[in-house]
Amino acid sequence: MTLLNQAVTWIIENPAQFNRALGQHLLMSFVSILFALAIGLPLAVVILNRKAAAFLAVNSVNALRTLPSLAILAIMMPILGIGLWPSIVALTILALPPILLNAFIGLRDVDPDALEAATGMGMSRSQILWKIRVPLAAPAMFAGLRTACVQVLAGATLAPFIGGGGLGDFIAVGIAGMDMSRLLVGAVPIAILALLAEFLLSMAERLLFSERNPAT
Amino acid sequence: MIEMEHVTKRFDGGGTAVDDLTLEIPQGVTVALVGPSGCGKTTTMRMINRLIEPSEGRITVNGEDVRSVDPVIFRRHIGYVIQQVGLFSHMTIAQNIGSVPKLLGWSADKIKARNEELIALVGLDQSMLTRYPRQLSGGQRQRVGVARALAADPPVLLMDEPFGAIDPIARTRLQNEFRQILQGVNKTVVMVTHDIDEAVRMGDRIAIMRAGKIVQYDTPDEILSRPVDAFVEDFVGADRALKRLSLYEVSKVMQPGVDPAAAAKIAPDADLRNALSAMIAANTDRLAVVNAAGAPVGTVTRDAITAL
Ligand SMILES: Nc1ncnc2c1ncn2[C@@H]1O[C@H](COP(=O)(O)OP(=O)(O)O)[C@@H](O)[C@H]1O
Ligand SMILES: [Mg+2]
Repeated sequence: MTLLNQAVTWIIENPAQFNRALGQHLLMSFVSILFALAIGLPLAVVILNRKAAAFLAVNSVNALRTLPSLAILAIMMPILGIGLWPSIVALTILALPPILLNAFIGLRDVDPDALEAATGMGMSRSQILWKIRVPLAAPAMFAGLRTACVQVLAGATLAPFIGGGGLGDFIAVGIAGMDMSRLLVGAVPIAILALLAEFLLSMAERLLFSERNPAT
Repeated sequence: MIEMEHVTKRFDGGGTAVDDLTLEIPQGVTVALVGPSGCGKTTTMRMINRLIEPSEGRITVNGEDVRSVDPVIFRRHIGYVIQQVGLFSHMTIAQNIGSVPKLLGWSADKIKARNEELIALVGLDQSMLTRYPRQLSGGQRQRVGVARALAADPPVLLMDEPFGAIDPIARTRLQNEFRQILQGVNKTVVMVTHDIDEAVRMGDRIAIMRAGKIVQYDTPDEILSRPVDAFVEDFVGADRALKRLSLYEVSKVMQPGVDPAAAAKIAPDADLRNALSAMIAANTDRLAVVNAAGAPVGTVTRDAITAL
């Protein structure tokens, strides 16, 4: 408890430093999620009707998923150097698998009867994509986004290893100096952010898609 | 009017699903395509709206060769109903029914008016329009499926096992209701089923298929009274004489005059199969025909039924 008090006191006494780290953390996470969405969602559509491309993409992304976050960061360093951008690239790679896989599986596994009916009534391929597949896959896509957000917020903790900054800085400093209260200055807000993201996004998910699965 | 001339479909790596099939379906007629599983019914039907391209032969709908038109636009003018309905679960019932009108660019007001008309036509409450498919029973969903297919008033309606997923009790009721609906809308209808009873109940004509070919194409009465070969005879069942009786109402063979000796009663719109059954149950050879108000209007005899 005293450790936590010390951590809070430190935050109150060093608001500028804390806010800067928090801002970096959120910026890194937000930008990499945007990148992952911008790459993952169109890619899911592109590979939808291309068996070989889908096989390749799904397997590459699954391979990526087995890499530990730290390894991704370590690989980035010799390629991109250090700083904020390499961290964003690494986090984008971290966010891509859940977004791409959920979107692809969601789009692929849309109710075949709905597709048959849509084709039979005279919808074009693009109408089927936009009016049927995408809305029906939206809950799966959203679930992918939720997983990605939590992973990225947590994964950004490692950004200091390649000079990316963020709340992980306090953890790194805390470990280096054996200062547990400083470590908590980073660890507690990261945990809260991850839990908050999970909570808010699952609330949003329920609000957005509840009408289709009514309790009645 | 639908014409199929020498139509053959061979699937890559598969056998011949439809084999040199010729079939002419006049305007306004309901044809039931019936036969054992895998005989090519669905393939035949899906070639009409070009969900499957024939390997050989020619198909015309209302005089137009189906290959000469854009399949996507063409399908908007052909109603299509499938066994699993395939309602869009992210859309309300109103949006589902209004799908084709929307594709055709109808105004919102026109779509709304049409939705209200159709939901009544298929016997559902207006309050259903704002619901989602998951809130409906199987039978209600199939009604919505038919309403959706009829939305843009297409001249042709294709239905693939439309009652296959419905429980037997609701099925008979739905079949009778849909028969009434179809008689009121003057559509050319192709209905696929594996159930001869359904074919007899729904079809103006029945096409019996076997291994990609049509073995008999006739009215239900002809099929049931004169099956062309052992396969058809076997397919329609040993009770074909009774099935045939179910095609006709008591009023068809009713004689005037009320017989005071008649031991049991029957309604004039009951079918003859039920009339015969009532006679057997009451151990009699004549029934008094009694209208809805309870007034006797005539007599039906066993001889009159068996002479039919
Ligand atoms: N896409 C397909 N590829 C290969 N064979 C098929 C395909 N669709 C149907 N068939 C075959 O064609 C035959 C007729 O199928 P179908 O028309 O679905 O029969 P039915 O509707 O009478 O049960 C079956 O032997 C089936 O296995
Ligand atoms: Mg079939």
